[in-house]
Amino acid sequence: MNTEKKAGRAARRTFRMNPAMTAGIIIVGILALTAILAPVIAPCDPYQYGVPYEKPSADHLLGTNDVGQDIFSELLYGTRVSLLIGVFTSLVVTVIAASTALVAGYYRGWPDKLITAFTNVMMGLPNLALTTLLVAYLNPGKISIIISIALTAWTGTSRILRSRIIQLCEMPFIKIEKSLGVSDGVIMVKHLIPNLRDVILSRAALSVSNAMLTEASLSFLGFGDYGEKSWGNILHYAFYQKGVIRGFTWWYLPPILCIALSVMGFMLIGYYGAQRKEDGTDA
Amino acid sequence: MLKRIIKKSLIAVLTVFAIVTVSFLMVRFMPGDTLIHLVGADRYYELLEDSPKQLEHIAELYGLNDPLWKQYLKYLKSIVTLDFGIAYSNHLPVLDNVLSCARWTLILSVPTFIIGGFLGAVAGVLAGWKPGGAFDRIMTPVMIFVNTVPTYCIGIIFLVVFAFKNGWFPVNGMTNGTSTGIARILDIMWHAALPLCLLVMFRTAGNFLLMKSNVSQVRSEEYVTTAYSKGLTEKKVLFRHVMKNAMVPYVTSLCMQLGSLLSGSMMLEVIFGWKGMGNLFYSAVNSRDYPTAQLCFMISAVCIVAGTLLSDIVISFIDPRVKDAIDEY
Amino acid sequence: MLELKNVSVEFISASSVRAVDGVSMVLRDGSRTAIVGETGSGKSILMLSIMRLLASNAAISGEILLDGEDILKADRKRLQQIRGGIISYVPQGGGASMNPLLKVGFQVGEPLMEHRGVSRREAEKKSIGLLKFFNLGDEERLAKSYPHTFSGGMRQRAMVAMGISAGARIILADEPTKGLDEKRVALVTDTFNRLKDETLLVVTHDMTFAQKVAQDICVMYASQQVEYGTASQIIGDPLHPYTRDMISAMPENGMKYDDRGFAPSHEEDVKGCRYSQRCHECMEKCSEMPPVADVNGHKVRCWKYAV
Repeated sequence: MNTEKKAGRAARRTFRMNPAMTAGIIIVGILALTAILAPVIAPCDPYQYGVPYEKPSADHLLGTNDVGQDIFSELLYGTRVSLLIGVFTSLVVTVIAASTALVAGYYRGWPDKLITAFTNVMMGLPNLALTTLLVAYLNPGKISIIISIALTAWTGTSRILRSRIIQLCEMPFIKIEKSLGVSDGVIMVKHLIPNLRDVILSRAALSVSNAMLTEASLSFLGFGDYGEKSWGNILHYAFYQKGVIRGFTWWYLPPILCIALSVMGFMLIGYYGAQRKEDGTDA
Repeated sequence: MLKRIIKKSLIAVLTVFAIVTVSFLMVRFMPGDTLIHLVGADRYYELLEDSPKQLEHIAELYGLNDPLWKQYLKYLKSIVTLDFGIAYSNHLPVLDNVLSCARWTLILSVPTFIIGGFLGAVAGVLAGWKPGGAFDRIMTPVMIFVNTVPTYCIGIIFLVVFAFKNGWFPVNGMTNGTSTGIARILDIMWHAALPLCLLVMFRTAGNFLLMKSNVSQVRSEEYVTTAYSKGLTEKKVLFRHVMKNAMVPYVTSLCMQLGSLLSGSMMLEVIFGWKGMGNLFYSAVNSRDYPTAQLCFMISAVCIVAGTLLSDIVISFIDPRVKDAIDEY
Repeated sequence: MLELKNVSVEFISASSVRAVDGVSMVLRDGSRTAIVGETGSGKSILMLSIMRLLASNAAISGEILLDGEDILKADRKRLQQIRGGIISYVPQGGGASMNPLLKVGFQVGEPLMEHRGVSRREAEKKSIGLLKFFNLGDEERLAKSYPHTFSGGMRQRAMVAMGISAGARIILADEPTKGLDEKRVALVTDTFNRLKDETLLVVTHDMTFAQKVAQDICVMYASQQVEYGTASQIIGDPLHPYTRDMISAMPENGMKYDDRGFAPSHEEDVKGCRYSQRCHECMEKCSEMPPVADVNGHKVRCWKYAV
């Protein structure tokens, strides 16, 4: 227990010293704020038609698109969809990954063999292609997008968690609990999951980043939630409605920056969060 | 050793079987009429009006009125005989369409594999060998950035800067369609330049990060201290002891990349109008041409499985620990 | 002859840490010395600093004289000649001390190729002879095997073979008995006792092993040398309270051991004698750093013997 606390203290110390992670948290914080406040900040209703192809002006900070919708408002509202899908997909991914990993890593034996084999098969599938197929053939909507992305994205996290759980189960404090006859559920919830918290959180942040990226790709290709404003969707119209060819920088560049920045933000948290864990155990 | 290869091959065959089955079940359990999916929505309504007979014929062809297991057997038979049906877009056999696209994808993916594999390894070794040095400090953030930012975002920016604004490179397509002989080859190279550049960039970034972490990990191993203690020169320590070990995971990764040669980058092919496998898959899904999409999907999945198998075999040749672990099996 | 004069090692990072503090030693040709101390006492770092194998943030001060030549001032080329050619280092025989992708025979012969210009084939042949010298058994096959097929004891002995393969005069061995059972320790002890002409410096935490292989013993505690003398002086007539406690904790003395905590860590700033917190005979004076006293050539850092 003492060592656990010590590791925790060391982790918190490095946490404060890590500028990359702070940058990630700031980016994500701004994103979340924008998503919540979108209706308040947005100068126009992004679904309102108007004069098409307007250049940036005081009325339309980033101009208008091919059907005259205000691009700046579109972007603000887009944050909602992109973030929503990213976070919910990550939630689904984490739940699937954690439960498969717990069953496989804790019980071992045939459930482990079965889950590992299944994970290996899933890893053999081309992710983006399968997700695209699923999105295209399922009933359109946010839920199908979330399911389609999550179905292919959980394998990596599951694999990492499984090996961590196997390591943890070799530790004396888990062995003692087991020999005392503490129920499996209690050990998992009280000991395994808290000890895996850092790994789970950093993997979850990476999943958000991946899911946002995939969602943006899908909407860019036109497979996204039709009619919903997301960054990929704005970029889709900018690309296919000649915004890019005509050099309407204000149209195609902001969604690109938003996508790149948010993917970066979550990745910084996930990547350096994982490093923080390593530092913590080393100290 | 042989046992290990046989075991891995068996697993690979089973995986392929699973993939084939998944793609069979997927179309049958998707919401909506299976026939619509198989024919494509537009084509389906077109046929429904013009010649319902032909629709029935197609349904018969796939055995859609039979029980599921019979459909499955029929499906398996068609896979084994490489009969993947007719594409409804241009009435050619699906396989022919796919093969002609595969050629174009290979034009991009083979050079990417070779150049990206080489550049990534060299740069990764340089950065990992002297971590904290000038090269590492400059390259690592750049490579992390390239590796994180979505391909098509940088792709669009490249397109704008190098094709629209400056006109140095063509905006779209693979050839101008008129030249022949050497001129045609040069023309294709000119058209391929931008997407190839981007692909090489992304691949180099991924490989760089992998190699860098391999080298810096191996560098701190005890046997490297042992090697230095023998009085070996830096060069010999690097090539004989560090590189050899760092190459093991790198080669594994290269084998996997070999498996994805045929998949093609969907996003970049779409942006640059490159009619490769990725673009074919995209337009097939877009026009709901399931037979084509399915074949593209299956080919890339099978190739990935083959790549994994290859890496398993190669690793047991280069790493004695893996080789022996199986002998004891 | 290898002479250490007031050698200190400091690791410079956010806060600098002194891992070795003013150690002086003389290794005459053909002599055998053991450095005994607990984990973290700085003994392995001292050994690595003789080889100049420490990370770049380690600052070594003092003098390390190899037949009068200061190793600390040697350039890279000269260092490469010294390492493996004159002084060789035998690392701990853990799983990671040999390159897992190269055959043992090659790794044992590698210093020969490097320093004596011997061909690869010749070196591998010679390494079979070396493995035979240490009685590893079935040497031809072993030379063609990879390190992971070796047990810890075999790896340790192969590593000693590697150390002497190029004819180095001075052998430095780092914790050669770590993690080995009694039978294997006996084999390793035998291995070292087969070395007749070489100068030997062994780092160990095992006083029994030190007694069996060495003539001179240097006891280290919390980065400092607390006692230095011949094995008979140290074992037969230990002066420093720490050495005494250590000897009474040896298995043949009934492993008498009372727990008075651990040595101060590098970050802790202990003003006086570093053993004072655990010492039975701690005096008022011990709040100041004791000088090194010389009792008939037997050096000890303790106020009891200070004149």
